[in-house]
Amino acid sequence: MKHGLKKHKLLWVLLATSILAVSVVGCGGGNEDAADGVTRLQFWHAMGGPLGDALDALVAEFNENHSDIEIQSISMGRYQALSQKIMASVAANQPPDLAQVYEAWTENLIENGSAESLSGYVNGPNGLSQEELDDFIPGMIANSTWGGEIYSFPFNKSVRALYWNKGAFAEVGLERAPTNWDEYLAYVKKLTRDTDGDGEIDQWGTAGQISAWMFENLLVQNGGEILTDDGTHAAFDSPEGIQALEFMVELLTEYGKVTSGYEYQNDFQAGKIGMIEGSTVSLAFMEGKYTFDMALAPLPENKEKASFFAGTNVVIFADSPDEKKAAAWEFVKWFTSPEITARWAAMTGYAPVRRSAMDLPIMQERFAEVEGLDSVFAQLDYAAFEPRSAAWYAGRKYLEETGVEAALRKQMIPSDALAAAARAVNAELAQ
Amino acid sequence: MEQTATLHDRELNAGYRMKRSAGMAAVYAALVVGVALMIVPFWWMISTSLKSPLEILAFPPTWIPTGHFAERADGTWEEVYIVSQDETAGTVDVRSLDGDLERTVAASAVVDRIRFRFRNYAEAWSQAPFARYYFNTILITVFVVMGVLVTSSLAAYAFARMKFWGRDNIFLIFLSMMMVPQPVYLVPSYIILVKLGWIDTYQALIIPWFAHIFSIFLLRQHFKTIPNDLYDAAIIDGCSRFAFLWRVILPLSKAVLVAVVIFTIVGTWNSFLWPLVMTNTPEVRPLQVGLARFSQEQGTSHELMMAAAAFSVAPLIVAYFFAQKQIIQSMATSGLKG
Amino acid sequence: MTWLETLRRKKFMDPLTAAFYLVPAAVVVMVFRMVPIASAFVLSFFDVKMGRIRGFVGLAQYFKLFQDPTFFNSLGTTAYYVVGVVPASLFLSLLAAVLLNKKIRALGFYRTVFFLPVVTSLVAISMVWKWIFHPRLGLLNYVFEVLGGNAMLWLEEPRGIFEMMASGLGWAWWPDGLSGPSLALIAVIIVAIWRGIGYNIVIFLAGLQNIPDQYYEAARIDGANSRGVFWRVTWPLLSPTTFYVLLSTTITSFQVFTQIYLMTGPPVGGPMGTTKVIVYYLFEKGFDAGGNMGYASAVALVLFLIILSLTLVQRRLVESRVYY
Repeated sequence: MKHGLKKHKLLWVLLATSILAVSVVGCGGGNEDAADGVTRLQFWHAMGGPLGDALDALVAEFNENHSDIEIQSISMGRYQALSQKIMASVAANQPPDLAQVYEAWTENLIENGSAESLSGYVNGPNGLSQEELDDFIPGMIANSTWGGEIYSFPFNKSVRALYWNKGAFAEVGLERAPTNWDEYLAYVKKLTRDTDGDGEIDQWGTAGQISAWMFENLLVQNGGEILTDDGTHAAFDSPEGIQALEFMVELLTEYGKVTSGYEYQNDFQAGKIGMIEGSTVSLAFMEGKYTFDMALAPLPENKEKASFFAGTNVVIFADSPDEKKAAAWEFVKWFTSPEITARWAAMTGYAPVRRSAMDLPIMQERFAEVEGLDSVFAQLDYAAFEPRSAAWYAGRKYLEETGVEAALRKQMIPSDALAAAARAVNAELAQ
Repeated sequence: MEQTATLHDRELNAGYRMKRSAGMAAVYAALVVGVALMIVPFWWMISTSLKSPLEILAFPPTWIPTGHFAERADGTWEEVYIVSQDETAGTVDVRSLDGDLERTVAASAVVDRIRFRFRNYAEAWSQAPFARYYFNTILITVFVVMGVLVTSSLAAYAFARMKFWGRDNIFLIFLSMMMVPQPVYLVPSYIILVKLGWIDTYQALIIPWFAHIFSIFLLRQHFKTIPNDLYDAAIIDGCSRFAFLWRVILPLSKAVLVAVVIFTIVGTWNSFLWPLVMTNTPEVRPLQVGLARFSQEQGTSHELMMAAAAFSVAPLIVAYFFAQKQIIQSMATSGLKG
Repeated sequence: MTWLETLRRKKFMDPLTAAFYLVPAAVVVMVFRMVPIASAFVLSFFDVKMGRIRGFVGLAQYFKLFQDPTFFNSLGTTAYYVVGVVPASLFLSLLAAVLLNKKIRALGFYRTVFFLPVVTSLVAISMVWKWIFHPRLGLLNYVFEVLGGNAMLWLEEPRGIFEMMASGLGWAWWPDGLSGPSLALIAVIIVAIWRGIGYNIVIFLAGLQNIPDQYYEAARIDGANSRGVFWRVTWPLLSPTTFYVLLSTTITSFQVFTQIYLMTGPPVGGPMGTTKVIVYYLFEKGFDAGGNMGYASAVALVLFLIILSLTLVQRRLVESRVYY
């Protein structure tokens, strides 16, 4: 038995050391703050591909210029995964220090006490002057404000744009992008054609994905509204909305193709589509991948000009220690400065968040490079924001899936699809 | 009479044989179709991973990665893509893949050649921290295997060869735990790991998998088959209980232990839902989760996705070709379908 | 006399020694299995939002669950999936196993090939198949076109397959409730069958090889043809194996997640929510917007009850016809 005891001990020691080894090796997540005076913080985002590269490059530059701050840029790949990770980490009381968020998530975070008010930083010694605040694109700061407090800061905001293949246009005798709905429809008709005479259409007028965003733009261009003024009921199922959806269905299914995800951009790059609507950010993904002359144009207008912003803001998390929050603010302030936002915009196609950025040489060079980009960013003057309540965020997916998707996939006629979506949205808003 | 009977038999046999060989031909034909269906996706993964981005967009697709090549002025060949074709003049406008020099050449001067773009692998490898993912997965797998071996053999030994109060009931409770599918206890497990402060650490991916009930079951069944005489003899020799496990039982159980090691490795290497929920940062993210993130990023192109998929499954598949018999056996006993 | 000594007297082992051997496994099983399983049950009675328990709500979440159309949709989708995978997988793997059991040459080669997907990660497999199903550039549509068929949308097709068949036959109308699983779900089902078939083949082969030759000989002497031999000998004697395969494939199928997460959407579960299975719904409820973990636990419990009762029912139904 004595012999056995020794063996027992040996085994225990083995087990204990292996557990210990795991715990020592396993301190992932960078929670350990070295006492070297460097504030390390985690920034969670959903920027992938060229956007992720651009963001990482800027973060690296910031880290280099700030020897006492080190920002760790962590991509969650896409917004759905980012949302899941943020919500789960808040539940776990282990949120990051800084993260990209949609307005609706911000509302959840504020309600939960997880979002830090930024007003103190904005008005503080390392803050922004009124002049600087006024330099932000109109509405951006207001849209980040809840109950008089600024909780988030505009980070990556984009608007929609029309991308057109100049060669394909020229072949059918068109020289410019459509500026209104009538032209839009006429042009896609002309561009949809059988180029090699085999009886099958091999160039489509347009293409797109299932997108509530596209519909919302058409809706407001047609004089409609997403929600009633008090925000309690859906208003998109109005006659204007039905007409807008019918227009969208005609564009994308008669003279175009509906693809999932961003496949339609690949088709456009391959020269098989006359023009597409996309985000200004699509530019970053298409850069260097097309072999024809391409230009951008603002969205065609109808009864009204309209353009909605998409994209996220950043929030700082309330639970982080003060020095991390201060460092995070330093980064936010740096990132939204005219010079950096202009470079971010030039690299990615996101809208610069500051008006003065437009006049900087870097933006001017970009405008010279990309035909029509300046006119697309001119939409910022009248661009609006979607409703930002958490209830609308939950409801929006019904507009997309029950409304727009059902109509585009020809499961329902547009009026029925919108009525069904409106019922689902109203139920969500009533909760 | 005798003769006719033999003749009849012979005819019957010949007929039978013919029928049988026709039958076997059908069997082989069916199996070959089956094999093709199993292999083609793997072929497609490898083939796609070696194509150029423009080749991906070609329809009909190429089975073997092929590029267009045109001769340069200095007599060397370069890969190009075709910008436009002029059939009447018999010329094509081509542009080189690397530069943007566009030129017109005779259609006959452009030839198609098989070529493999191995640099897709390097590119995919560098677009996400795959080296780190690989390291994490290997580390996690090694520790889980060690943990499972230690805890399972000890517990199985207790269940198989010791008498103690409540033994069979405890064993039954263990077995019933095995019946509960993972998604059922996913949410509370997350909360427990939060309380332990283990979210986004290696511990979260290792310690909960330190005990594997099925391995305990398997080892217990095997330990029970070892005859008692051996034990009595060992005790007379002055062997302690633990020494008996270590020196007699475990060496006699090598085959079962190997099976445990194999299905633990495969299960850990391929696990997805648990690490997806329990990790946040690339520092601890294992390969499968990293691969999923990579594939879901906007703008990841198909050839890079396939390259990443290929190098993520490569270690297990290579191991599989070397030790297929053991692996198939081990997986079959485990009931583990991944 | 202490209780310890009593135990020893009764020739029971020293419980401390036994405990030493059991503790490492028992602690892990307790903390990471028993406690979470018990908590799943408890959590389902609490309102938990973003990790904070906001109060005891009794059965309220279950009432809510049974009025939740998305939940019922996810149940229906999962049922379609299980019904799509299990019989087909059983039939194909049994067929392949019977063929492989015909003393063919290079048996090992075939077995190796069929088993290959089982050791391949589901993440990689899902990525590859998503690419094969690509509506425009995918291999499958290419093969279809070569064979004279029509290209299909596969993972992007929300229409039910019965409805599609009906419209293929030129019928203008088809009842709404009977449109069947979407083609997108069928695509996911195809992958599941492809992935799991090798495992089932190996199990069936082992079962077939356990049937003693004399049974076959006896049946042949009785004059049975090969079909007769199959139904009179192979099928009944194989029934314990068939039962095991049926059970394990069903249970695995109910837990499908990875393929859905990687192949469908965006958003995951699309098109039009026709591939949102119960485990994904649970994941979404527990870890996405609002993080309602109590509600997710209620979903988990229902999943558990379904699997448990199916196991029991299946066992009873099949056991009566299983020849051991």
